Amino acid sequence: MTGMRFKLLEPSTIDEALDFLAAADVPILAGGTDLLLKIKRGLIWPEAILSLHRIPSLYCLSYEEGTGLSIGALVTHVRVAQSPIVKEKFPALAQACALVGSPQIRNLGTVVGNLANASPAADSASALLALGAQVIVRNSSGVRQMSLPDFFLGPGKTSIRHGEIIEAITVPEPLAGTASVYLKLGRRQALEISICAAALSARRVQGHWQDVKLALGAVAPTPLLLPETASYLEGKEWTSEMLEQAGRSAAALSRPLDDQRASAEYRREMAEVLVKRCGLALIESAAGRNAHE
Amino acid sequence: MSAEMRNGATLIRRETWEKVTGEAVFAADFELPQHLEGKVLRSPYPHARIVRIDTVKARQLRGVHAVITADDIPNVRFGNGVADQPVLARGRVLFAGEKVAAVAAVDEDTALEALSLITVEYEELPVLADPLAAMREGAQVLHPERRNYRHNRVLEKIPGLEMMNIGDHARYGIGDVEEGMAEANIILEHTFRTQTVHQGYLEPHFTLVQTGRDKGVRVWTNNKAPFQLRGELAKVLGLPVTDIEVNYGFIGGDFGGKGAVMDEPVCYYLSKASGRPVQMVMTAREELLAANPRHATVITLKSGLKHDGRLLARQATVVFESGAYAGANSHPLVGGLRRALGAYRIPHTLIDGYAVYTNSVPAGHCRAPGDPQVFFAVESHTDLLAEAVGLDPYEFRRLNVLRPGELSPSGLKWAGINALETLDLAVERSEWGRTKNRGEKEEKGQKGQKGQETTVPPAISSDHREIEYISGKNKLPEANWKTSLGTYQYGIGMALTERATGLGGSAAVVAIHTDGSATVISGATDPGTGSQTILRHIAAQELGLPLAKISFRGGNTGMAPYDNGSGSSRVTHVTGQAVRLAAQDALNQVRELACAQFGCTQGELSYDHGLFKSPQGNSGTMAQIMAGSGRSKNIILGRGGYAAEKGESTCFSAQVAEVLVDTDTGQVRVLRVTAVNDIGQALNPAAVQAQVEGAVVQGMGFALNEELPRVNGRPQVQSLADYKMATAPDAPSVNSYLLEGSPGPGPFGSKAIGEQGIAATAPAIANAIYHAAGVRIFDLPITAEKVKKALDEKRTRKVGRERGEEKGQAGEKGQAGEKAGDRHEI
Ligand SMILES: Cc1cc2nc3c(=O)[nH]c(=O)nc-3n(C[C@H](O)[C@H](O)[C@H](O)COP(=O)(O)OP(=O)(O)OC[C@H]3O[C@@H](n4cnc5c(N)ncnc54)[C@H](O)[C@@H]3O)c2cc1C
Repeated sequence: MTGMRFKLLEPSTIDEALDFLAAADVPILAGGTDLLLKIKRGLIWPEAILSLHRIPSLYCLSYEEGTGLSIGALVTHVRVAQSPIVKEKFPALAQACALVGSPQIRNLGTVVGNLANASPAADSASALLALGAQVIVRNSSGVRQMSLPDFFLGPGKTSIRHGEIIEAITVPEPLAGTASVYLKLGRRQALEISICAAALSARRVQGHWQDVKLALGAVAPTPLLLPETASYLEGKEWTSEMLEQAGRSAAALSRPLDDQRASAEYRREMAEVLVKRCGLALIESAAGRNAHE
Repeated sequence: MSAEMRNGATLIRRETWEKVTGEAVFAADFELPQHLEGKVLRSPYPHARIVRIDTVKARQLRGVHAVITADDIPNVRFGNGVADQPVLARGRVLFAGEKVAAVAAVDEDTALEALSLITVEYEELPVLADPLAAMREGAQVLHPERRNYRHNRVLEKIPGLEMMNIGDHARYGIGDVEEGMAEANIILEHTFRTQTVHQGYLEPHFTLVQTGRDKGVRVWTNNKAPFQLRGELAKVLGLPVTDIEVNYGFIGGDFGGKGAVMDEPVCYYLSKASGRPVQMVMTAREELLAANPRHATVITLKSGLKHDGRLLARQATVVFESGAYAGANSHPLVGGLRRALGAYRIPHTLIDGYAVYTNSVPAGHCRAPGDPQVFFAVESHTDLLAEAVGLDPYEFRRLNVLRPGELSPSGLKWAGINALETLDLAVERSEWGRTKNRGEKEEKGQKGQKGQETTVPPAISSDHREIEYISGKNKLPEANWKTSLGTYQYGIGMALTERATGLGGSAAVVAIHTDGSATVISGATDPGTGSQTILRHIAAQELGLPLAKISFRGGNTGMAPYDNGSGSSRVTHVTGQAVRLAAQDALNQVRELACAQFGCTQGELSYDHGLFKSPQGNSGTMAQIMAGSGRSKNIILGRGGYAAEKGESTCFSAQVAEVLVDTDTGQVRVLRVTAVNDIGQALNPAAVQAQVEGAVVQGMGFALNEELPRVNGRPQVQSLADYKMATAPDAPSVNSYLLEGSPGPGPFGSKAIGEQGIAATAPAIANAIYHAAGVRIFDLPITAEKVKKALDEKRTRKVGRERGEEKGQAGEKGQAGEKAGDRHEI
């Protein structure tokens, strides 16, 4: 296969991996579902590839009460989607990971790879934005940490520099009463890159919604956090009209493009619909929880 | 017919095991020592003059054995119907993806590197992207040399046409359409458009060609019509057919797409130039760019009716977009043209069909060529007509459907017309029959529909038998299912279609071995349909042997007898009849042996349950008779030949589709499709059901999502990631009913199913969407975005109406709704 001849570097510790990276600017391989495609399509011609697979610590998916979730660089979508704790505490993320590609892709593809690839449509990205995730980066001088809005710079562009490796993603423990949801819209039910996606997280305190975070996917050069729209919804008891207004606000803030999958206009309209539906879904889940208690 | 067949036992396919374990041999598994990899350089432009090609650097690359352009090979053209395709573009390229140069090298990487070293200077020419524009007089002519092409029927028929881009034209009908229209109370005209879609086979085209010292040519390919390929290569290369041997294995999906001459000629010339065998495999991108997808169409239908809904006249203008070349088709006007009038009784009709050259990918055959396109138009149009006369779509169809003894609207006379029973069964077995108040929906605002009772159809007559098969959960959310997230409108729609059993010629041999087992030798390929199993089954039935005793051999045109290919729903019928005759002949020869052994006459000999018996009390099995006859006598080779040129019946198909339309997003979810097929006799019900399910899912993809869009001739989809074939979670529940009892021309009264199940799906879905959401989409695919837009327009109109701003309703003999009126003159 063309271009598929390269040296495979397989360090067994992060430090060793960092040494390789210091010596040569080679791409990092996790599940390979994005990287190998780029090579096959002739977009890059690497002479060597750095595989993380022999580094055991990167497989770690852990949760600590009060602190939150940590997703190691080799944690696949299927593990996140099926984790009971993620489903319970971070439902938007579990839903997003469950909607990635197909079973084969979810078995191979990683959440970190999904973020590092920096597609505006990456499913886990908008969910993680709405959940306030942080990216933990390792380089030769140590660890640096950044929030997701600072991480995404543009399509395929992140603030990761040469010689750096993402070690994990952390998601803070949600405050009591938090609910979250992820909705994705595409042309088919599987193997589908979103036309538009939305993630919403908020917690209900005495009938009002607080700590609202809203993110959209596939409607801008990067996955988009929308603090303006979130603040409109902050501290209120949501009504259908309010959610529609929020949808319009989110749509106005989005900057979609026309492409093969959908027109910019349709994407904007769908942003409006999905934001409203995310709100309705949270109201419904809160109602369900109340009924439960 | 044996009890085994009457009971509709499921036949286990012998090749299933091989396929699952990877042992089955496909074309790409063939390998020759010393073979080279071939690759072609394709034009990025839809229309351009080739100013200069520089191949010097490519030729100098180490590992490259041949580089060829049109200048290095004879000026030949090939094609199944019209030989209009050059091997490599000569002087001009007519579509983005056309082959311009080819290389053969030691491996794929070297071949690709060589391609990158070839420079081509193009001068772009204006692009003919739209078939309607291309057929206008004065449009630039894409094939000015057409007069010289082989098999060009058209030029004889219509003088002057060679000066235009109309590759073929046909006109026919019955009665006097003008008279019919004059008698009509209501005339409606609608124009529909359908898109280019790929067949969706998994296995890409593979070709391996060896040119020997002795002038002979050996080809390994996954072409599904190897004898036709051999014939065409013989003509193109100027060789006797006996100098060409085409070898084939199992075919990894075809759906019509593997019948055209593809890379064989270019491989041949690469092999000639390099002196080595050369193989080529198309990539998925090349498949989407430059194989032979389904024709895009523009279809205008105009119908005249009486107030009571009776159809009087219909005029159809069907434009098939051939693309740059029409050579992939056995005929530039594909068979679906004839069906553009529907399965109704219409005394006055006229069809005008055009095949038009444009600067786009050459179109080819795709499962029921032409049918899904014309029936999307006809059956959408039918619902629009029903609405115009205030009839329920089912009532309207019942009123007009073709009945036994009536002439088809295109002038054919069929025996055993089963259309009404097919339609009735689809209604009876689906939600349509259960939901009496189908018309009860707000926002419909149409007379005669509200609360109307649907007549309960009569029971199926006793000489008919039905076979039920339900796949999927068969569970539906309630009508107008509401969740807190949005509003989903439920809708139900139907369509009725027709397609005859395929024709053609085939020969077969059945050999009986000394142990009493038998081998069917046939040139029919198996593109995944299970044709080998059905042919073995037919032989088993005739020979009175269990299926396990029958093996199948084929594999190359040098050994197997002629067969004209696995297409147009013809294998069970035509090859099946040839096999049946060969088996009869073989059995007769064994009977002769038995008579000689028993000392009785043929008339006295009986054969039942595998045992030959004489009145004198002698008996013996097939194996015993074979073993008991001397070496020189027990060579049994039965021969059968069969040709069908004219169809005397057709197969009807009716589907009822149920959908949910998400009115906020325009997304459509197909919940369930109830499909009824008039099958004559199901020889292998499980295989028939598989064809029905596959057809419904493929038909749904055509309806909602699949598309090879182009912008000014430039292909926009070049990856399977962007080509939205339905996935398993998209598939609806398919409830399939096979209606037996109206015999067809195939063995044991069978009809056909390979293509018959696909055409009704798109219009049934389109009609269901209209029922659900009140929006009618005239151009496929019906994407969510189109539905959303139509819903928005409808809402705006409604607001307008409420404000009293509505203009007068379209009157009688007037145009239909605003969208439908998009009339065009040709
Ligand atoms: C058929 C198909 C369907 C798909 N469907 C979807 C879908 O529905 N939704 C969706 O969001 N995506 C989809 N994808 C894209 C892809 O599967 C995901 O983005 C996946 O999560 C990528 O993870 P990976 O582990 O395979 O990444 P890789 O391909 O291994 O890496 C992706 C990129 O991240 C970099 N990288 C990986 N790990 C690190 C690290 N630790 N530090 C720094 N850089 C790193 C790599 O160098 C590379 O540039 C699909 C892909 C395919 C092939």
